[in-house]
Parts: sequence; C-alpha cells; structure tokens
Amino acid sequence: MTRDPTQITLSLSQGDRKAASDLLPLLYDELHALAVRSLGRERPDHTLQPTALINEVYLRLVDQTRVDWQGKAHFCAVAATMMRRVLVDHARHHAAEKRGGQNRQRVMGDLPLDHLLTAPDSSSPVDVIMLDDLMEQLGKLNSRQAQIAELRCFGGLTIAETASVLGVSQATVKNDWRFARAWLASQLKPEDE
Amino acid sequence: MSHSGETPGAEDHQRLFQLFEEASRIDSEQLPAWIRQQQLSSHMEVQLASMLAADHQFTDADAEDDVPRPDRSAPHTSGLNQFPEIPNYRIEKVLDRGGAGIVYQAVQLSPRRPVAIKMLRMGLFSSDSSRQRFLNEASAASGIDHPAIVPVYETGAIRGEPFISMKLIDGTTLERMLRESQIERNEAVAALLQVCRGIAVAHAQGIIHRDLKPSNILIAHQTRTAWVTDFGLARNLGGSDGLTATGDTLGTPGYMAPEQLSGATESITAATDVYGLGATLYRILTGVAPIAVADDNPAGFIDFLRQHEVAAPREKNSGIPAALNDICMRAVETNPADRYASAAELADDLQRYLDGEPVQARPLNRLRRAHRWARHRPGLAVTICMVAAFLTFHSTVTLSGLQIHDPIFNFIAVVSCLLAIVNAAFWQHSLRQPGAADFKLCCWSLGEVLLLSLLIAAGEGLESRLIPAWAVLIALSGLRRRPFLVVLVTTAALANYGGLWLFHTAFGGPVANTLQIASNMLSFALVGLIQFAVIRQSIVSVEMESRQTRHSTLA
Repeated sequence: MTRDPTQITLSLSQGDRKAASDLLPLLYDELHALAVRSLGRERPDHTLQPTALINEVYLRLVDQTRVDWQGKAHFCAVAATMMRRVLVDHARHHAAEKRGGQNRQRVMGDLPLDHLLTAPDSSSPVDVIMLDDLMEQLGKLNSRQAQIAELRCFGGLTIAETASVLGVSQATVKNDWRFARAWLASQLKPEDE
Repeated sequence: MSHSGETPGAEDHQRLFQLFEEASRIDSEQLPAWIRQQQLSSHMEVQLASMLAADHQFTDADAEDDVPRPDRSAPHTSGLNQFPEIPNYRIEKVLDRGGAGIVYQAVQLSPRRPVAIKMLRMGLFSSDSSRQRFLNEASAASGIDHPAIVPVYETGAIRGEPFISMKLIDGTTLERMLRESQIERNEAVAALLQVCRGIAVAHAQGIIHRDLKPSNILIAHQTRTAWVTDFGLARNLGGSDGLTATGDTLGTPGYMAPEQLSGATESITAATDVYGLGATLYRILTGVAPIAVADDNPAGFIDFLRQHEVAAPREKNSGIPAALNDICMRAVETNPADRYASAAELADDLQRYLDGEPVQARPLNRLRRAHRWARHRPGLAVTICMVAAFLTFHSTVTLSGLQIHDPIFNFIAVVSCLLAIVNAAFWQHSLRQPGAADFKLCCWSLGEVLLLSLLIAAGEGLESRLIPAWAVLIALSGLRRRPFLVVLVTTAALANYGGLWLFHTAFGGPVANTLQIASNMLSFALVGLIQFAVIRQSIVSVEMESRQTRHSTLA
C-alpha cells in the first residue's frame, strides 16, 4: 500500500523503521530527476547544491503544515543517503566515460559541502567519488561519525537536527562532527600539496 | 550506533578521536610538545597533525553553526518542466487557454492550498507602466472581501511575465452553463444577484470591474455559488477591443456598455458595470447578448452607437416575467443616467423579483415607449410620419375647400398610404433577420419611390404638389448611411419623373413647363449628390477615429 509522503514522514519521526524504506523509492526518482537536470548542464562554473535539491523535493512531497522540524529532519536524513548515492552514481558514470586520468568532477558546489570540508580559501572542488570512498572507510571505523558526516554534508542537517535524528545529545554530535570533518578534510588533499 | 568498529584500525581510530578531543583544548603553542609527549606512532602523529591543521582552518562557528539553509524556493531548474516555475508554487496543469493568457491549476506551497494562476502574455502590455497598473489594480481588487468575489492571493511577475494567483474555484462559467442548458433561469438569476451584491461592495471601495459578462462569472460545481473574477483587466488590456483575461477574443462586444464601445474611457462609472450585469441578465433571458453587431456594414456601427436598439426580452420570448423584463431593460439603457444608479439598486430589484414583490423598474411611460419604438423601427416610423403628414395636409386642404374633392384620387391616396405603411412594416421586420440587408433596403426604398410615383400620377401628374416629395425620399435614403442606396433612390426618382414626363408628353396633357421640370430634376440630382458625399465623408472619419481609439487604449 503506498502511503503519501507526509504520512511516511510522520511515521518516520515516530520511530517507524520501515517507513524509511517506503520513502526511498519515492525519493530516488525525485532526487535523481532533479540531480540529472542540474548536473546535465555543461557549464564550467556549474555547481550543485545537494541540500537545495533535497529541500525542493521535500517541499514537493510533504505537506509542511503537518510535519514539524523533527519530521523534516528525518526526511532529510533518508534523503541524504539517497542524494549521496545519486551523486556518486552520476560521478562514477561520468568518470568512466572520461579518457585520461581526470576523474575529478566539479560536481559539488560551494555550499554546504565545500564549506564544511574545505578551507574557505581553497578553490578546488570536492571530488565526490573520493569523498564517497572516504566516507565508506570512516563508516567502517566509526559508523556514527560517518552517519553524521553524511547527514550534514549531503542532507544539510543542522547539529540539532542531526542530534534529533540519531537520538544523541547535541554535544556528542558536535564532537563527532568536528572530528569527522577534520578527518575527511585531512584525507581530501588537493593534488598539489 | 556502535562506537567501536569491528574492523582493524577501529581502535586506533578511537584513540585518534580521544587525542583529537584533548588536543583541541590545548594551546596551539604548546601543541607540538604535547604531541611528542603522547609517544604515538609516526603514522598516527602525522594524521593527528594534519587533522589538527585542517580543523584549525575551520572557524569554530562551523561546529556550532547550522548548515546555511537554502531558501524556501529551490533554484529554478527549468528544462524538462514545461510549466513556468514560480517560487512557492507547484503548477499542475493547464485549466484554460485563451487569447490573453493561460490559466493554470496549481498548489501554493506555503501556505499550502490549491490556487489558480493566471499568466498573462507579455505582448499585451506595451509598457512596464501598463503592466504595473494592471498589477496594482489586481491587487486593489484583492482587497475586496465578499463571498462572490474570487480572492486574489498574490500578484507578481516571473521573468517579466505578470501573474495573478487566486483562489481555485471548481466550477464552470455561467456562459458555458447557459450554452449547455445546465442552469435554469431562476437559478441563474439568483447567481447573478450574488454577483451584483459583490460588485456593489467593490463599487463601495471605488473599484469598477469594467468587464462583466457571463464568461467572467463562475458557478461552483458543489455549492452552486457564484463567483466573479477578472477585475479591472478590461482597462489595462486595451478594453475597447473586447479582449479579456478569460481569453475571449474579439467577438461581439455584446456585453460592453455603449460608453465603453465608443472609447470614452473617462465616462466609465459604476453604471458601466450595471450595464454589464444587465447584459448578463439579458443573456440569461434570451440566450443572446443585447447587441450583436454585424460588421458587414461599418456605417451600421454608427447607427448602433446612436440608436442602440435593444429588443426587449419579452419580444423574443413571451414567457419571460414582466418584472424581469423591466429590470433587464432598465439595466441596459443606453444612457447611463437612465440605468440603475448602482449595482446595489439592481441587486435589490432582483431580490424583489425573486421574493415575488413588485419591482421598482417600470415599463416606460407612453411617450418614451413611443420614442423607443420609433427608434427600433426608424424607417417605418419615418414612413408613418410622412404618410400622416400627407394625409393631414390633404384632408385639410380638401375639407377646407382649397382643393376639389376627387373621390378617386382620395381612394388612391388612402390605398397608397396604406401600401406604403405595409411596405415599410414588411421590410422593417425583414431587416430584423440577419442577412441581405442591402437587398432589403433597396426593395424598400424602390417600393416607396414607386408608391409616391403612383400617387403623383394619379393626382395632378407633373403639376402635382407632391413632386418635391421625391427629393424628400432621396434625402431620407441618406439616413441609411449607405451611399449606393442614395444613388439608387436618386436614379429611381429621376427615372420616374422622366417617365412621367414622357408619358405625359406621349399621351397628351397640359403643356408641361420644361424649364420647371429640368430644374426640379437638377435639384433632385444635387440632393442625391450631396447626401452621397456627406455619407462617404462620415464613414471615412468614423473609421479613422476608431483606429485612433484602438491605438490610444492600447498605449
């Protein structure tokens, strides 16, 4: 039985685990369509804002009058996972097509990912594939830190929202995030060190 | 949410985490010393150092701060979507497409509600000022709070194209419902009453609709309540062309008040809206608009403006109650001062009708009725007047002894007068049906000329006092505003006169005064010529004026 996205989101925020898997197929189509549209253009200064896309999908699918900020946080959490998959799939697909060693994609724009992971004066974009690999690694070492990183980078969740979704304190999230950010940033070195 | 991973390196990772936390509390000056103190493997030392360096580049605010929120409106991602993208709205489908623009069904996202979005084609607005004026006026209309007025939620422009978002009404236009006989007369009148009350409220706030007609009135499917929409658009879209926001293109200007049609925009008042309401009532009662202007005769347009013949609904359908008929006729009076002074008065009278009480609208008094009747039938009225004048003159002259009493002539006179009236009545009636107007007028005029000739021939022939009557007929033919008709009548008169002369000469009679005859004929020809020229002149100037009017209202 397909339920409407608002209902699913409400269930999700009440702790219904199954709701996440109900939401995934809805999200994938929407996010994929949006991302493809955004990524499809071949302008050199093209940037993508993953959290903006998620926000747009959220506005489309969910009746905001019925869902509070925590519900939205849960929605975005699921969306973040999906967003990451979409972007990485896309990047890998394009990387395979490119000849030569340049498999770096200018797909991640300024905010929020670059803002969070690279120094403000760094001009190089984030390599999505590399980021994905690193997050995988991080996940094996500490799953919560990787989750937090995913939620913040791909879902754009705030500290408070992340804490709400994961069911931990904000202090915990802050510490974990700071660490994860430093960890990822130190690994994502630009080519010219 | 496990803290320790199962993979190798997880413990190291945990250690790294602890070190990192501790290190971030230490002064940067003392940091290198502190690291050395920890006695870490070189690998871990390097990693910690680079992490601390990376962390250092981020301001503290980042850890505290929330992710910068993208604003509510997602970036315009156009391309695959064929609908325009308006922030805070999701357009779902097209409801209606017309000459002035498109109406979409949409959902407003915040607050969430269904809306109708009307997007107007840029080409209609020749300047930014007219677009701004339109938006201002639509906004003003949005301030009207009445159950019959469609609420306007927002006006704006997206990429230069103005749009209005308003309440979505699930309904059909009154025009369509009437056309498809989906609404019964009294119900339609009740709906119109609701609209009248709404318009009255708008007038109280100084807003005139200017474009009231059945296609601007919606009847909701569920509740059958009436809504009126599209305020003020007629002014800003070059109103005298008949363009409206619902997309009706120039067809019959049937619902526009005479003062609107003539382009005198400064004289548009609340009475103009009363006309529109009355015209809508007319449509409900008779199935057509009050005026259907045929455009085969541009001169007819002038006539139309002057005479504004509106046949009373009861003439078309005797089943219409007299009260409704009177209300309708009062509302569509040519002269705005003769109409109801306000939409509220019209509403009150409609209410009285629906309640079964006597209405205030009265059939006109006798003189005005006669005047109106004559205006509906100008040709016949003129003929009757002429005949009456002739008969009065003739009987006076005969009875007072100035003329010999000639029974045969009297008989012929009476018969030909009757025939003239019958002829006029017949063709007048025939002209009410559309088509072949020119032919009908020719027959009519020729018939009159012949009857006059008969009368002259039966009387004193070339000596007849009625000979100048031919000149009168020529002059009268000019009233039809058709140059060729003037030519026809002139020719016929001259031919008859000439024929009479020949007949007279051939069959013997008193010697004719040739000079007199020639002089008369010349006069007839001159009268015809002058009429011809005057009509041609006025047609040309009317065309130029209407072209100018059209240009100035679009500016």
